Amino acid sequence: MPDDLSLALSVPGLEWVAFAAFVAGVVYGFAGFGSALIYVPMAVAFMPPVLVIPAFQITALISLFTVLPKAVRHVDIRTSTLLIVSSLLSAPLGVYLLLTLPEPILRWVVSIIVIVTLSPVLMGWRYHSAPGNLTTASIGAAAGVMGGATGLNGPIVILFRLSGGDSAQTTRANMVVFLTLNSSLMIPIMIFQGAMTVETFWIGLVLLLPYGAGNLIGQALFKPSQEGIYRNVAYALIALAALVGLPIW
Amino acid sequence: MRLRLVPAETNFDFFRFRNITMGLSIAAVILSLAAWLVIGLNFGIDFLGGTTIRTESSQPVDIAAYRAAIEKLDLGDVSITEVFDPTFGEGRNVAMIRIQAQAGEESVTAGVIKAVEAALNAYDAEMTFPSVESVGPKVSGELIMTAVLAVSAALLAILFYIWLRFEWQFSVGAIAALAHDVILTIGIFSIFQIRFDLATIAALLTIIGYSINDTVVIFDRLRENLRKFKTVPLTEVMNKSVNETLSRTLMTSGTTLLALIALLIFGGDVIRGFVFAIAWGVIVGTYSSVYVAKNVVLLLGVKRDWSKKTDTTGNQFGNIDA
Repeated sequence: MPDDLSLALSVPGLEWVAFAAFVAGVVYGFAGFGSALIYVPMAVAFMPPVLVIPAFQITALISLFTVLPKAVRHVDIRTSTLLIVSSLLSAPLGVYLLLTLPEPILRWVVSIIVIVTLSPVLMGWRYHSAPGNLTTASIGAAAGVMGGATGLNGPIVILFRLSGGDSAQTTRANMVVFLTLNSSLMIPIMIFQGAMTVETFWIGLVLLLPYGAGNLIGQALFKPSQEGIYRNVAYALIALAALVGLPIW
Repeated sequence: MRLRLVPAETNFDFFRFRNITMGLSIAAVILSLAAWLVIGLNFGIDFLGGTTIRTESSQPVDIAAYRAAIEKLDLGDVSITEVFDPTFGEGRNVAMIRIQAQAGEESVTAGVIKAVEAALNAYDAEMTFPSVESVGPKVSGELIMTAVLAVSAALLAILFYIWLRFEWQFSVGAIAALAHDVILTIGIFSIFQIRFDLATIAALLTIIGYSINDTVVIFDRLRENLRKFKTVPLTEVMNKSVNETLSRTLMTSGTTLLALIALLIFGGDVIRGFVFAIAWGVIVGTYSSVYVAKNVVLLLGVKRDWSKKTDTTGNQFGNIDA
C-alpha cells in the first residue's frame, strides 16, 4: 500500500482537489444535491480530468450508505431501472470520450453543462409532462454519456425532472437512486476501459476523508426551516465552481 | 456467581439501520472488487513461481547493498524486503529475497540459489539462510486453479446444504454473507498489498467455515422462532433470534479474536498474513451473519404459512376438496 498511497499523495494539485471534494461534501450534506456539480468543475481546474473524474466515482460510493438507504423506500422502481439500464448501455461511449477528448475541450464541456443546468433551474423552468418510456430511456442514455465523460450524470435528469404525476419525494428518491447506482456501476465500466488506474483508485480513496467529513458537517449545518437559504447558497457555490473550472485562467 | 459479560436478555433493534448496513456492505464489496481488479494482489511465490530466500544476520539489513550483491548474477525481477517483528531481539535482522522464476526453467535451480547465497555471504560473511522455498511456474498456475476451485466448491456445497436444511431464501442469504466475507478479505489484501499465498487461501476457507457456523446458529434459532411466533412480523422474529444468540456470537468471536490478536503480535512474520486474514474474517464474518445474511432473508421474505397445501404439492389427495 504505502508506495501507491504516496504516489497518489504526491500528485500536484491534490490539496485543491481534496478541498473541492470537501466543499462538494458540505453542499451535498445540507442541500442534498450538487456534489458533482461543484466537485468536477473545481477538480478539473487543478488536475487532469482522466484522474479526478474516475476517482470521484470511488469517493461517491459513500452515497450507498448515506443517502441511498432513505431514498429506496420512495423510489419508483420502473422509472429508475429504465434510467439506470439505459445509462449503463451508453456509459462506455462517455468513458471513451473522457479518455480521448483533449483536456481543454472536456473542461469547456464541464463548465457549459454546469451553467446550462443551473440557469433554467434558477429561472424556475421545469419540464412538466410525464415522459414516456422512450423519452426516459433517452434521458438515461444521455446521462450515461455525460456521466462517463465528465462525471456529471445528474444535470440532464434534473432538467427533465422525471416528475410527471409523482410526488416531490418520489422524484427526489428516483434522482438519488439513479445518481448513486449509476456512479457505482460506472466503476466496473471504467476499470474495463482502462480509465481506472491504481493512482486514480488511491486518489478516490484519499478523497473519501474530506468528502465524508464535509458530508457530516453539511448535514449538521442543515436546518429544515431555512431550506430556501441553503438551496440558494448551493446555487451560488455551483456557479462559482463553474467559473473556477473555465479553462481561461 | 457466574461470569456474565453480555446481559442474559438483550433487546437491541438490529434492523433499525438495515438499509444503511446493506449500503455499507455493498459499498465495501464494490470497493474491494475494484481494488482487486485495479491494484491486483501481491501474490507470493506459491502463485507466481520462483524462490524466496530468508536471510538472517546480526548486521542491520541494507537493502541497497543486498541488491548490489545479487545484481551481478542477472536474475531479472528480484524483490528484497526487510522483515520487522517485535519478537526479534537486538542483532537479529531478517530479510526476504524473492526471485522470480527464470524464463524457460521449471524453477530457480540449486546452482542459482548457491550463487545468490555466495554473493550475499561475500557482502556479509555472518549471514545465514534459515529457509529457502521454491515453486515452479507450472505448479503455481495449477495452485491458482485449485485454490479458486476449492473456494467455489465450498461455497456451492454450502449453498446446496443450507437449501436442503432450511429454505432457499436462507441459502441465498448465507451465500451472500460468505461471498461478502471472502471479497472483503481479498479487498483488504489488495489495498494493503499483503502477501497472498496458499496460506491465505487456507485462511479464506477457514473464514468461510467460521462465518457459516455463525450464520447457521442464528438461522437455526430463527427457524425455531418462526414456528413459535407465526404471526409476529419477520423483522421482530429476526431481532429476537439475533438477541437470543447474541451472547454466544460475541463470546465465540471475542475469544477467537483474543487468541488471534496474541498470534498477530507474537506469532512472527511467517504466519502474520494468515493470522491477519483470519482475524479480519472473524470480524467481518460476525458482522455479515447478523447483517448481510439476515438482510437478504428479510429482503426475499420467508414463507410463513405452511398450513394450507397448494395444488402443486405433489400429493395426489392434496386437492381433495376441489
